[in-house]
Amino acid sequence: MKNFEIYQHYTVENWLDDPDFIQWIKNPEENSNEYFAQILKGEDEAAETLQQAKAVLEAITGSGKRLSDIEVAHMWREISQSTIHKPRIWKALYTKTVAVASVILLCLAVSIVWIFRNNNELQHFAQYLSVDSLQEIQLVMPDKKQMTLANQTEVKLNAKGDMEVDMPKGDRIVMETEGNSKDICQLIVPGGKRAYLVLTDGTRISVHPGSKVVFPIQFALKQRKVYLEGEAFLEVTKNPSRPFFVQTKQMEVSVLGTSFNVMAYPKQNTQSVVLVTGHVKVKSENGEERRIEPNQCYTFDKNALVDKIETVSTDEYTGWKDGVLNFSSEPLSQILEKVSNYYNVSLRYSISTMNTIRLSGKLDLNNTIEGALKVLTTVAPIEIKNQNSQYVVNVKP
Amino acid sequence: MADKSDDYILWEAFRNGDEKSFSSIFNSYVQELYKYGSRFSEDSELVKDAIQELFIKLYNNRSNLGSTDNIRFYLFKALKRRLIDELSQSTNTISLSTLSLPFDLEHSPDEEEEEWETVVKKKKLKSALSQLSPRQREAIYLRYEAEMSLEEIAELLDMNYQSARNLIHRGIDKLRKTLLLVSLIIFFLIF
Repeated sequence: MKNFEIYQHYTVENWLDDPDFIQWIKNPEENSNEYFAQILKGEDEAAETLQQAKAVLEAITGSGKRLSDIEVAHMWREISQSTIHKPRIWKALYTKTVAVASVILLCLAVSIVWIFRNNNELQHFAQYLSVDSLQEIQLVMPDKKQMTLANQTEVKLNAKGDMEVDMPKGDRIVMETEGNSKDICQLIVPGGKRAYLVLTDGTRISVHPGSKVVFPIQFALKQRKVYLEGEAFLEVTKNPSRPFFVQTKQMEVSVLGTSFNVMAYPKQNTQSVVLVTGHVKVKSENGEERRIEPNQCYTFDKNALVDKIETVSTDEYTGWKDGVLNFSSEPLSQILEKVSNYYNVSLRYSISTMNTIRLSGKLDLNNTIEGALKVLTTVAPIEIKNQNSQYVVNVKP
Repeated sequence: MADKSDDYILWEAFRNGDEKSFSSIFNSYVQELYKYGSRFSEDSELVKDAIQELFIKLYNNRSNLGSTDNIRFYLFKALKRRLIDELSQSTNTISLSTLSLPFDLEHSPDEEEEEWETVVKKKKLKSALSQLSPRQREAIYLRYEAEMSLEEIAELLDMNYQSARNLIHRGIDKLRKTLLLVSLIIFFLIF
C-alpha cells in the first residue's frame, strides 16, 4: 500500500482507480481494514474523499446475484449434452452410408420389406426394445441406430421425409432420410419423461411416460397407421381419403380426423380410448366395432373380452400431455396409480384405505417424483416413506 | 485475472476440441457472466439460457472462431450480443438499439432488518442510480465491479475511449453528489 502522503491529494475518482482501495472494499482483510481506518480517522480531506469513494463503490458493487453449485452443474449438463456428449448426428451417418454402401442398404431394405409384409409389421418392430429397461427417451431409426433425446423433445417429420428433432432448449437436429414408407422408426419414452411426435401429415402425438410408438417415416398411400404400446394423446389431421389407424395389442382405433387419448399398457388388463373431439371407431379382440362420441371413454377388458362405454371428463385423461394431472373428487388410490404410472415407480398402498380419501385439483408433472409426492402429503392426510426403492403410502397416524 | 498467454493457450486448446479446456472456461466465467447478464434482465432463466446457448454455440462453431488472448472479454461481448438479440425478441420491439437496452445496478433487498439510516441511504442511492443512463450504469458496472479496462469498456459499449472515460466520470460525479447530499440530510435529521 502506498504512502499516506499520496492519498492526501486523492479525488474520489483517484480512489476508485486505486487497486488497493477496490480490493479493500470487495475483500476486506484485517490488514487493509486497519490501514484504511487510519486514513478515515484523519478527519481531513483525504478522509472525506475516501468516505465518499467508499459509499460510491459500495453502492455500485455489492453482492449481486450468484448461481448455486447445483445451478452451475445443471447448466453444464445441458451444455455438455449438446456439445461434447452429443449423440452422433444421423445425417452425417446417413449421407455417408448412402454413398458408400448403397448395395448393403438395398439388401437391408429388401429384408425389411419382407419382414414387414404381414399385417403386424409395426408391432413386430416394437418388440425390439423394452420401455422398462430405459432411463432416457430413445429414438430408434430404421437401421436400429439409437439416439438419446432430452425430456419433452419434439420429433417432427416433414413432407420431404426429413426428421427434425427439437430439444426443449431450442437446439435442433435435422436428419435426412429416404422418405420411404417402409422405413420404420420407434420412439420409446421411459417413466417420468414425455415426448411429442409430429408425423408427415401434421398429426401430433403426445407420448405418455412408459410408452412406445412405432411409426413409418412416410405413410402408405391409402392409410396412415401407427402402433402404440402404453398411452398417447393424438390430434389427428383430417384426411377422409386416408384414414388413420392406431393399432395396439388388443385394439384398433380408426379415425378420420379428431383428438383422443389411447391407453393400452401391455401389463394392464384394460385398455381404453377417450375421445375429445370428432369421431372414432374402435375394434377390439372380441371382434366388435364400436363408435365413440366426444367425452366418452371406451374400455376393453382383455381377460373378460368385454367392453363398455361411459361418459367422462376428458381433462382427467389428457392433462398429462401438458404436464398436469387433473382430478375432481377422485379417489386417492386412482391418483396414486396415475402418479406411479407417469413416473414408472412402484407405490405401495392399501386400495381400500386410499379409496376413502378424495382429492380435487391439479398436480404438476414437471416435478420430480419426490416433488409430486410431497405435494400429495401436504394436501392429503397421508405420509409417504421410501423403503427399499419402493414408496409406501400410509394414512397419517 | 488470467495471464494473456495463458488465455491464448487455453483458447487454442478449446478451439482444437479439448473438452477439459471447454469445461474449464465455462467454470471460470459462468458466475461473472451470470452477474453481468442479470443486470440486463431480471429473468434469471433467460440469462441462464443465454449463457448455455452461448457455450453450446461456441463449442459447435469452435473451428470458425478467431483466436483471443482475453477470454473473459470475448465472453462478455458475446453474451451481451446474445442478450440484445434475446431481449429484443421477447419485448417484440422492432428495432432495439444497444442504446436503449436497460441495465440495472440495483441489488436485491436484503432479508434482514436494517437500520433506519441504511434504509434511507439505500432509497436515496436507488434514486441516484436511476438518474444515471443505462449505458452509464453499465459502464460503471464494468469499470468497478467487473474491473475492466477503459479500452475494453469502450469496445463493449461501442464508443471511443474518451467518451467511455467521460461517461464514467460524469456518472461517478453524479453518484458522489447524491450520496453526499444524503449523508448531510441524515446528519441534520439526527442532530
